[in-house]
Amino acid sequence: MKIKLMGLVSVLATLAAVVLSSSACWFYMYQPEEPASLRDR
Amino acid sequence: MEKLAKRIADLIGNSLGQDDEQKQVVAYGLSAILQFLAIFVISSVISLIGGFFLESMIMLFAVGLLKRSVGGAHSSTMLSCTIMSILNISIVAALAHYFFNSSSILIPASLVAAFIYITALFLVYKLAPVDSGNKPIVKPEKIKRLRRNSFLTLAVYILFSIALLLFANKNARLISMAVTFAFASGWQSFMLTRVGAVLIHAIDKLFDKEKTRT
Repeated sequence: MKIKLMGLVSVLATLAAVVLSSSACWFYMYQPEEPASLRDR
Repeated sequence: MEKLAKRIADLIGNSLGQDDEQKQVVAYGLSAILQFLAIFVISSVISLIGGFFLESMIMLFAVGLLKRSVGGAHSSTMLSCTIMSILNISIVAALAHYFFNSSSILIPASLVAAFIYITALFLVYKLAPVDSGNKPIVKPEKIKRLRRNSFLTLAVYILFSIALLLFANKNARLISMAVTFAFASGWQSFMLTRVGAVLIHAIDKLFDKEKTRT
């Protein structure tokens, strides 16, 4: 159960990261450095 | 929040056998989710108390979605960004709610919204997308796609505002909602300008001073 929950959180977070990587920046006024695999400059 | 996201990502990554890059991606996504939740929950509580929840949610989503394609000025820390975002959402939503709340103000509100939208379209045409040091944008096709999305998003907001103003004689609340869409567009296009960046950096410095004092 714990592993399933962790897997779900991991999938959701990865999905959020991928969606954000295709945009100009984050949803609000902060932009940390992107992980190398998400860079699309 | 970033540290918390990193800790959670490490915990999950170690349990699921992920490599460092996968952990960084999860931490990046989690930081964004946690920051969004913090802004959403605190803005919701403030606006529910103040009675301007709808305007507050319009401001939150309209600024956020437009920012994804136009870019703009950024805070240097997640904390100052979160505080500034909550203040910005709450103050603008309250202004729209309390100043544009009667049908007698329909024409001035329409003129204000029209002026803001024309200015926003001009600024987006001239400046968008504005990138940042942590996320440079150089690919011409990406710039083209972001510019197209910026104009599409603004067009949708303009249509929402027109539709809300057309039905405003039945419910005056629709006026403040229409004006909030315009304020969100105005604020986000102002963040594309140098003056916007200077303002954000000045507020950033204030938070830094407070941090040093405490």
